[in-house]
Amino acid sequence: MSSNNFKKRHRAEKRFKAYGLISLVTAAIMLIVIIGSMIYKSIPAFTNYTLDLEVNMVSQSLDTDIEEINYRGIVRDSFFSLFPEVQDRSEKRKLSKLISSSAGYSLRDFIIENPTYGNKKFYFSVLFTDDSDLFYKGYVDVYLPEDERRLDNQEIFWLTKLQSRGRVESKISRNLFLNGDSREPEVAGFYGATIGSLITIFVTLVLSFPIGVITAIYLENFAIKNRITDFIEVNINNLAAVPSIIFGLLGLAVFINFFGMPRSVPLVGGLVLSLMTLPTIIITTRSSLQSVPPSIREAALAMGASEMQVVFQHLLPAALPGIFTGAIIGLARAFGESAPLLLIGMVAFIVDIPASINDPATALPVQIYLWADSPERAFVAKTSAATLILIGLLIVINLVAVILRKRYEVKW
Amino acid sequence: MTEEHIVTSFDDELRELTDGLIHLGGLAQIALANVEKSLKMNDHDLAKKTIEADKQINALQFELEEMTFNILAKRQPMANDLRSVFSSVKIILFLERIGDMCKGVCKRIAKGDLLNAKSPKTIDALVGLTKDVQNNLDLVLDDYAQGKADNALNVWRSDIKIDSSYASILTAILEDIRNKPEAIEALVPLFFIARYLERIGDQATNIAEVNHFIVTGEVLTDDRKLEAEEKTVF
Amino acid sequence: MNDQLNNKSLIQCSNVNVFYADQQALFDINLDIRENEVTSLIGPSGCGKSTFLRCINRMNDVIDICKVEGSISIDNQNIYDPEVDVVELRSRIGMVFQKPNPFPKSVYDNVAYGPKLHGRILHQEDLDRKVQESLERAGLWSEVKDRLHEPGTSLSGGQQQRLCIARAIAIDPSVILMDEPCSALDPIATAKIEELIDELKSKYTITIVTHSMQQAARVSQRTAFFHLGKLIEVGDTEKIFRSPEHEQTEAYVTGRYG
Repeated sequence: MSSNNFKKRHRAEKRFKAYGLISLVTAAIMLIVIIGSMIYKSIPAFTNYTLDLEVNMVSQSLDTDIEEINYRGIVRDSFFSLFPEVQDRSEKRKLSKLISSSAGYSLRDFIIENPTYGNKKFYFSVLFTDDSDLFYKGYVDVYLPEDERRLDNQEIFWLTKLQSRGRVESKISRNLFLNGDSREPEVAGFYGATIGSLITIFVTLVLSFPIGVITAIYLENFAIKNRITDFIEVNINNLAAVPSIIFGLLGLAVFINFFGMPRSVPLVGGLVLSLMTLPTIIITTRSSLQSVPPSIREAALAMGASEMQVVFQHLLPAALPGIFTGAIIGLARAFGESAPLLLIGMVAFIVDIPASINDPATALPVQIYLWADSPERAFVAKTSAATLILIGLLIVINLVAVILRKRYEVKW
Repeated sequence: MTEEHIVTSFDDELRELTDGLIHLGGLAQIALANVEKSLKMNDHDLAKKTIEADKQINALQFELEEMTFNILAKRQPMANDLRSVFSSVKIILFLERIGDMCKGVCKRIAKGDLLNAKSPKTIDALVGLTKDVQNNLDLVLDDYAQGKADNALNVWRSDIKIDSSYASILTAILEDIRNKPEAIEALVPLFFIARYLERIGDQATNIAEVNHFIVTGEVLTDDRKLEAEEKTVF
Repeated sequence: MNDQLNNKSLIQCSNVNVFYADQQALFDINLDIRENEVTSLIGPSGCGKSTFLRCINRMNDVIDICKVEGSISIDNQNIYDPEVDVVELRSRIGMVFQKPNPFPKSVYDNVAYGPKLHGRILHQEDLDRKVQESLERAGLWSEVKDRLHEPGTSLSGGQQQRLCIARAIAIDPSVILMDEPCSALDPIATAKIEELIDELKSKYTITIVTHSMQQAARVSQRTAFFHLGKLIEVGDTEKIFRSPEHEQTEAYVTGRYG
């Protein structure tokens, strides 16, 4: 009888372990699939096909201000010279659409930086448009009927011809890492959004960490327990569960409409995210303070330490790892948040890289949202690339949390 | 103390010890009763039997001593338990001494010293002394068995009487010796018997004092005895 | 009670009543604690002996719902007087707890904490000397002199407790309160602490709460028995363990309390 019972118990245990293993494997597979597909989809975003174009600036008069030269025209003329057979105006327009409209700007930037090239003939690397780029990357199915493709037969013929001349090469896309947003996928990058995110999160950190920690210490160690503090406590716990978009609405109503702060700026974004992060920081700080053994508090009090000395000399240092972890988890959540930022206008199309808390900016998650919404096919890869970067940054943040916890960990 | 210990095996051990002590007391009482009978009847067989029975007393003594030793080691008794366990050691010793002294008297009887002495008056006095001593021993052992110390003072008072009877027996023996110096050798054994009986009386008083200590926690000093004596006068 | 007044009383408690919210924890405690003696407080769990101990350095102040009435005088000063500074009071009273609770700092910093906290020692050499002296007095110096900068929590349980004692005596208290200091220790460590208590009593007045009657009997000169918040009996330790006056005391010390 009893041995039977034991067998049954052992079987149940084995079964449970098997379930656990199965769920773990399932979760791991899902994670691998998601990350894997993200990496796979993002591959095209990291490279760009460029054309080595011979630019002729010899004819340029040295007297002209280098800022006022018609760089676009020069690029276009240089490009047309590769196809002398194309003479028709409409065909020429079609041909010019193969290379990125940004080519003129990058030539201008190059000349401004290197004025000595101002009247020379030299090779200059020019970006293709997203569609041509995708063709080279093999994403255009040439067997589809012509009207179902983004490129018609003529364009494909030109692109193939260019490639056969050995003028086309694939390069790491610097724009992706160093540019702000753009309507042209080949130019758009997530640098602006990343900086926007970092500034926003910095504002969040600076506001929510001290306020949250001090609030928690006060509530935990100094506040008299009565109905008012109970009420505050319940509300803090409730706030942690409020959907983030509500904080966005609140920010819109209070900071922008009432206080008249500018829209789309990291300052307001940080304020809103602080509101969202505060309850998390307060709750985790309180629970880490509570988890410090009461014997330490007693020891310090009995030694004649004042309540404040107890908190700052004993409780806080011992609770620090927990507080850091909580704060960083809260910040990580804020870092990945898009909904409240949408409402305060950080969803705007912003090309410039923000430099201060008062510059219009967007944030990485919002950038992802924007790109995912864009019709151009090339943005699919960009979306994935930006998502990878977001995940990467979150991993870094969590790693910092782990390191801080290990470093300040107290052994009892 | 009627209340039980939380650890019931401790109670069992204490009870076993007390029961053993009462048994030992019983053996001493029997020995003393035998002394009285042998004295009266000059019963050599009974005397020899009593000498033999002393081995039993000694065996029980060792057994009980071991028991107290174990209780002290295992239970670390406190307060009244400490007093009773500690006092057990003393009572065991007193009872064993009583047994020894009964044996001593019986040895004299078995040797035929009583007839040799040719002094029936002194022997009658010795029997009377034995009865008094017996009475005292009965009282203290009853007290012990009931966990009281009611008779302590009575015993002490009665011991004063025993001491004076002893003194008069001695005077009588000395008188005899003075009258018949040649019988000195035959009379000296009576002297020893008297001395033994008086010592047994002392042991009974000792037990009474220990008993008093167990029950009240106070040592019965001579001052206290006198104090109590004065009180009881009125 | 056969009081032999060889030592004058340092702490006088009169009519001490303690309430936790509506519940009364101590009832009219009148107890004198004598200078340079070890007084042990015994009694079943929840009898109020720890509560009473914590009244002496006002550790009960920390508990919001706890209210103390009556007066406790140390050196003829009522410590419940509104003018008394609790922090200053605690700097004169050392306390050792049930579980060794060294700070998660080095051995040195643990001992130096009190003197530094109260700003009594300003020079590094003086502090070093104080730390050594306290550790020596706690019988720990020879064991830790080479590991002063290791965390206090890395010591063994008994060493930790002696470290806590060193920490307590580093502030030169006149009174040391011990709340079951050996209940978490093995017999050897317990013996060392008891030996230490015996040595310390020449310099300090010690009050110890203990659950071990043998320990109370071994280390203390006077013993107070608490039961259900009342002080049942106080007297010379020998008297309490040999022949207590009160029946409840007797029932408790003999193990008949049920």
